[in-house]
Amino acid sequence: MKGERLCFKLSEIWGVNMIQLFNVSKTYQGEVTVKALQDISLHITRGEFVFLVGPSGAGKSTLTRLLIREELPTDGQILVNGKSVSRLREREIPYYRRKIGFVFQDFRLLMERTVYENVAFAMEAIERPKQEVREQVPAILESVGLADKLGNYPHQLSGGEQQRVCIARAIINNPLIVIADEPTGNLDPDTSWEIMNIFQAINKRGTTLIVATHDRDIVNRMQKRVIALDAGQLIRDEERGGY
Amino acid sequence: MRLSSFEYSIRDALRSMKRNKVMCLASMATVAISLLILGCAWLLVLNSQHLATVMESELEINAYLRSEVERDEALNLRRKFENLGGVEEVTFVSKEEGLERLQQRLGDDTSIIEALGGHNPLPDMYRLKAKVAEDVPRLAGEVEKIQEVEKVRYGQGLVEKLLALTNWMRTVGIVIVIVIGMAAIFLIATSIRLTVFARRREIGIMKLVGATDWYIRWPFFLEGMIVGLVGAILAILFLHLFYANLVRNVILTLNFLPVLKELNVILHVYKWLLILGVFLGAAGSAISLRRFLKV
Repeated sequence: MKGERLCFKLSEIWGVNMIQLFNVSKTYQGEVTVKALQDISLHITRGEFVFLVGPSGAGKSTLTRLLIREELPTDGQILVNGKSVSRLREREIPYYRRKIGFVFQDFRLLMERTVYENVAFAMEAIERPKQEVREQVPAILESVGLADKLGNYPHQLSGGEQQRVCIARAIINNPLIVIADEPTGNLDPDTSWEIMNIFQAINKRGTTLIVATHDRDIVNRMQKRVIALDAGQLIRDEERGGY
Repeated sequence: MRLSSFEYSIRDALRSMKRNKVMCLASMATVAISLLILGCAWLLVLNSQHLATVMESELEINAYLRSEVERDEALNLRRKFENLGGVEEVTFVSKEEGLERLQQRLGDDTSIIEALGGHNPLPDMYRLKAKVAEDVPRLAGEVEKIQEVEKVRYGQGLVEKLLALTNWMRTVGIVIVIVIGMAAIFLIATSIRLTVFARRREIGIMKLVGATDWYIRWPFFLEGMIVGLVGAILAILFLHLFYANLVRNVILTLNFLPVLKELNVILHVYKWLLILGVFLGAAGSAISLRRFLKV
């Protein structure tokens, strides 16, 4: 009992904040200077489910690019799991990205590879042994309801099924965070709900989820935390919010 | 690197080679041709060097005596030649022996003595063998100073010409090989660039899921090295067929020509062709990766 308590306290001290942004700004210098993000500060705790909403160009994509360290913020500090993202060394970036799973609107599957190969690809890329790949890929595909589609090619699948392959690929390496960029943008409402249910199941296992979306209906009915961006500024951040 | 990661890389390399077949074969052929030319030039140089050493070791000085020198005097000269220093062997060849040898060389059909009307125009001669090839010019000079000697002949000019030819061939060979080698590297680089382009989606996803730069680069490096290796093997195969044939024919028809047939010398050439092939491939990939794979 004592041990459990200690663990709980320790996690409170250093484990609760999964993502912290302190006065983050991102400016793109070009012919026209674009202020994509302006002075954003927010905290997301471990195991949270967060919707990121806002019109196109609000800064949602910029934020996700900063989180996966594709770009560096012009100003401010980003901590993920307690570590500064901007202070990562070049060779640490790949290992950092293994903590984050990514789900895309356009799925980004490899068309000439089967469902199994697409998911195995993510494990091979981080150099997991063959035996592990053979064991874990079918299991994860079963958990997203694709147990009978292992040998199919992406073009033989429906949009919802393709998105499930993409999700399986995002979670196969046990990330701490899953970031989904408009995951239901190309899907019909029923299929969108199926995908959301999968996300909720993943979230229940303790993975932090950030879903950028335009889908009012889903945001309103799920009653999760909503962070709204507009023109690069944080305009709303509420628990159990609507669109 | 784990063993399974190596397997993944090999599999990916072979997969993209299959996808890029034509370009791949073209690069292999270029590597093969450049290495074949290098191999030919190399064997040629080795052979002429071999020839030069063989000739050098047989370096002799022929000293022709004046015709008015009597036989007794001529025989007494032997001591003088032996005292020159650096002389290994002194042989006296009388004019009768000389004529006999000439007759032997021309065959039995014609009689030289008859043709010359019973008069022997050849002089008496001493044949000197030097201990060291470098001594030959000095010895020749000293021999020439001896009063009874009319003329001195030795093969130094020929050896010098042969060595000059060897050097020239080596230079030309190196220049040709550099030019064609650069073409090979360029072609491999282009081929790898196409592969990188064809796999850009995969590369993007790999980066996103956290593949290290080296894991991403390896298949491309392997592809280049495989292309180089196969090209080198092709070159060696052709070169070996060609050279084995050449050696056989030379031994059959031009027996006096000393050809190089020591297997370990030839294997040494093949080994370096192989290493060079892999190097060409790796260099081509490296150029392409540096320019087109910003990971």
